[in-house]
Order: sequence, then structure tokens, then C-alpha cells
Amino acid sequence: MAAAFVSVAALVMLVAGLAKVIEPDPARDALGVLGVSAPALLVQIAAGVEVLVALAALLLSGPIPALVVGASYLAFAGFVALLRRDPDAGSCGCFGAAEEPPSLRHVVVNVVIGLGCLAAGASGALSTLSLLRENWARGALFVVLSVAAAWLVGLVLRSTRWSSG
Amino acid sequence: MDALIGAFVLAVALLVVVVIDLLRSHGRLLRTLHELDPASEERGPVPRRDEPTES
Repeated sequence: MAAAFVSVAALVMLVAGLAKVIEPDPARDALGVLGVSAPALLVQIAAGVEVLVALAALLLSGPIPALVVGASYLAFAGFVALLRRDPDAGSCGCFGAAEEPPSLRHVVVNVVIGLGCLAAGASGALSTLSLLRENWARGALFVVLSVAAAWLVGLVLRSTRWSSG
Repeated sequence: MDALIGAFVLAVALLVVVVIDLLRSHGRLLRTLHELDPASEERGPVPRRDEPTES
């Protein structure tokens, strides 16, 4: 279970990071709502780091990548929770141009994934690449399930049902 | 393989959340359509699942 958390979290992080590299303005606007003025280039550099962390979590086994991903998700949860306090915040900017309202659901999903990754780091879960090397067929099935779960995370976050809650 | 089972459980749990969302939004859509329908005034509001229905 723990490896699945890291794999899904890293895939979502990879997509989110790439989206912000391509379109940094929504994330800049979200930071601006919190009073943080950051140039687009800085947002793109941070998004590039996000992509690298995600790739490291997918490729490298050991506690550190999983713990860094987990800590990142908890930091994202805190960021979205702060954004929720401001009525001017239309989008968290997590996925670039895609409008993503800073909902309670977003906070809860980030906290759950973050804690799952911290647990994976503490238990020394294998990376996706290690699982593929261990058993190619099962590893491939694991990748397919992880991609499906990451896509579902995107769908769950899109729902604004809890946005006013 | 624990990781494979974990990925499966995670995907199914997320799928359940998405399906519940779809069903809820479908229910909302039906209620909205019912309210927009002029003939719905004669039939009255759509009873919610937790409300007792008149027989």
C-alpha cells in the first residue's frame, strides 16, 4: 500500500509540476493572494524542482524521496488551507492553467497522500522502478493501476462539492 | 505483492469517491430539471431520499 501512495503521489506531482512549468501564472496569482510576490521564472524553477522530486520518488528507492514527497504534500495542504481563508482565491494554481478551486477536499486529499508517503518513507517502500525490476509483469500492472489512481485523484480534486464546506 | 494490492485498493477507493460524486451531481441535475419544468408545479417538489413521501 505504501509504495502505491508514493507512486500515485509522484505521478500527480509530475503532472502538476509540468503544468506549472508551462503555465506559471495561476500559481503566481495564488501566491499573490497570500501576499507573496514571485516572478514567473521563480515559479517555473520551483515547479521544475517539483518535477525532479517526483521523478526521484518514481526511480529511487529509500526513505528520502518518499519523505520529501510526503512533506511536499503536507506543505501543499497547508498552502491550500491558507488560500481557502481568502475569498479572492479562485484557483490554487496547482495544475497550471486548469482551474482548481482551493477546496476542503483538496486539503484532505493532500493530507492523506502526504501521510501515506511519510508512512512509505518510514517503512522503506520500494520505488516504482524497483518494483518493475523485481517483476516486470506485476510491475507493469502496478504502473497501470498507479496511473489510473493518479487520474482519479485529478477527478476527485476537480469536484467543487466541498469547496464551500 | 503488497504494492500491487495497495495500488488496486487505492484505485478502487478513489473510483468509489468519483462514482459517489457522479451520482450526487446526477441527483442535483434531476432536481434542477424538475424545478425548471413548468409542469412540475402541479406535481410538487421532488422528495429527497431522507424525506417521507406522501402516499
